[in-house]
Amino acid sequence: MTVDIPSLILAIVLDFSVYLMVVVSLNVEIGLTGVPNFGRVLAYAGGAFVTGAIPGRILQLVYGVQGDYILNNPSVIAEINYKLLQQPLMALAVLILTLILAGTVGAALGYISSYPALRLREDYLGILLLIAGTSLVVVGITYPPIVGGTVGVQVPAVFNALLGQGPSLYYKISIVLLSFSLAMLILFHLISNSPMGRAFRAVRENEDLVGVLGRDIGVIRGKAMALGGFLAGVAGSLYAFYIGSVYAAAFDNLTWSFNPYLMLVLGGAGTSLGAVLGALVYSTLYHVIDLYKQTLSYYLHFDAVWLQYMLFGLILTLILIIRPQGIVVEKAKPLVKPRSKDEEKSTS
Amino acid sequence: MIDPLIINTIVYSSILGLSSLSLTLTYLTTKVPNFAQGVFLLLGSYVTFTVAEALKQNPYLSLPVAFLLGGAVALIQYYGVLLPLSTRGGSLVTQMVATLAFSILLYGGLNAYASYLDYVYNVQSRDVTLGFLDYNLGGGIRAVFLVSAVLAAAFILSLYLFLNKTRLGVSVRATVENPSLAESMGINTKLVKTISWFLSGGMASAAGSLYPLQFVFSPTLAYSILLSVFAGSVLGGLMSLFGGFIGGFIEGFIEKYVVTELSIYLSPVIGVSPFVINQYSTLVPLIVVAAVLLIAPNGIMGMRVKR
Repeated sequence: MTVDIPSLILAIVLDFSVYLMVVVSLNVEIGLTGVPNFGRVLAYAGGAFVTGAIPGRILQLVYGVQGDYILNNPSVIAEINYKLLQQPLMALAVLILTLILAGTVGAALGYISSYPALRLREDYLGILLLIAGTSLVVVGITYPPIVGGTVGVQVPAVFNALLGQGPSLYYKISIVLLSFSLAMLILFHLISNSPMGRAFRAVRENEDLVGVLGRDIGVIRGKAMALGGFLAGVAGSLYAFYIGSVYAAAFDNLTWSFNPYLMLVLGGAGTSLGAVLGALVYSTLYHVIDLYKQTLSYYLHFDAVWLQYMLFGLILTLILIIRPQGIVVEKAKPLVKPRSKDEEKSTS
Repeated sequence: MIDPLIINTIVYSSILGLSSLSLTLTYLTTKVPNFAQGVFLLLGSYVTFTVAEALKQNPYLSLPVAFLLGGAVALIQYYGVLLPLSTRGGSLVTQMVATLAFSILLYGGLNAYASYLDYVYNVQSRDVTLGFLDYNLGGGIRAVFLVSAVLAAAFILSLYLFLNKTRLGVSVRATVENPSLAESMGINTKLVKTISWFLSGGMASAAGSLYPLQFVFSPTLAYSILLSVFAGSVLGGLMSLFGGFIGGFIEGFIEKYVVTELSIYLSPVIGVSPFVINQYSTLVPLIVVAAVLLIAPNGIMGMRVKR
């Protein structure tokens, strides 16, 4: 069996970049602030739905394309794409505007969904976020005017217009996605070392202490949820542009809430390197098993996709028991240097 | 002749009530919301499917098997994952994540098994119902209607007797009230937790074993029904067992009955078919939980907790 190495690496890099963005957005909430967001898919799907619903309709108006946006979606988008190819600047403007809008919607969704439990204990917050997660997707599937219901919609091909069509298009897209994910990683690093990041970590470590010091934990958690939601919204939008269509039912809790959460825990919550490692391990494991799917299924007598779920679940369970902090352990950064043991002895 | 909607509602609400009850049971003794509860339920469903479709036996034979299997898997989860984690000082969030990770392992296994049934027995093992194999009692009533109601009543009655009339039951209640005090009084809290995990997994699986006899099921249900189970427990206040059952029952009642009735009345007003409105019933858990957390964070039973 010959393995097509370049396309395997391309597939891993594409998945890795998309997941890294989601994992970094979760890292702001889980890693820094300690908000157990089991419903990441909400803000992520929000960003993707914005991308499916808004730019196509705007471009339809701008170019005066006839036809109903949802019912005649393929022909409308085909005409838009044809005109976009001649206007890369328009494509760039649409991309930037959509990303900003998707991020804003993601931030709003993140804040609103956590609002009822912002001041409650983590388990209530986690349960609420879990249940809120799929709500937008249900609406998206049931109410076609947003993103075409069960049929889905296509998204204007801005990457084609910007990067040029051809066999190397997906290599170029992977570079764009990778740079976005690295930019988010740098942003996370900056936030983590800012006063706001320290406030986030203080909430994670000791809620009562933060309250005593006169800061409202609800406000700080809300900020983290909005920030994480913003990043997730942008990630969802980029994913929709890369895939080229939005299909509401594809945004399930397992793929976009639980798996990214577990990737972060695997790598090490609260660290940049941990997020990278978690996303990398998962995407590599997925594609390597995918490669030998046929052979494995033949020997196992069941679809090898599920082997990947079992392995991932098993690895994580073991990691959590053996090393609950994940592969990369966050270094404590105390503002005041703790006294060494010798000093304590001498003073007591 | 009973309205099919009422039968649907009673069966679904009984199953959900038992699941919320079992979720609350482990939450009370171990303080961890168990994300694998939905998979426990589906384990029972697949036991029924195996008994009825692969082995061609009476589907109700699966009830005791599902109870034991669910209990055993829950014990594996407690002894294999949560106990080692808590002795190493894992935080609440870490333990929640551990139940999630373990649930993915189980979910993968469940799907692999469904896929295996497909390969080996050549039967459709997803999006199916076994209603046609159930016994018809006449008047449009099938056995599952009675069995689900009786099962719920039997579990609640025996749990009530166990908790109030036996020494072990009293120690369970003591552990729930104050674990460290109970331990210092010589109560074996580890045994209490073992029992609660076994009962929790067993009850959820036994309830789930009835699900295929009334509804269409598939492994993906594990995570969608989990939301309803959590909502039921939160509605019940997460602090009383019977509150958990009532919360789950009300949650099921709203999802099946209230939404269907509402869709019939709303349909002419907003001009959307009742079928489409009915699909929004998946939003009920969110509305219930958000409302409970905003209005009465201690749930419906929060006002009168026995102390």
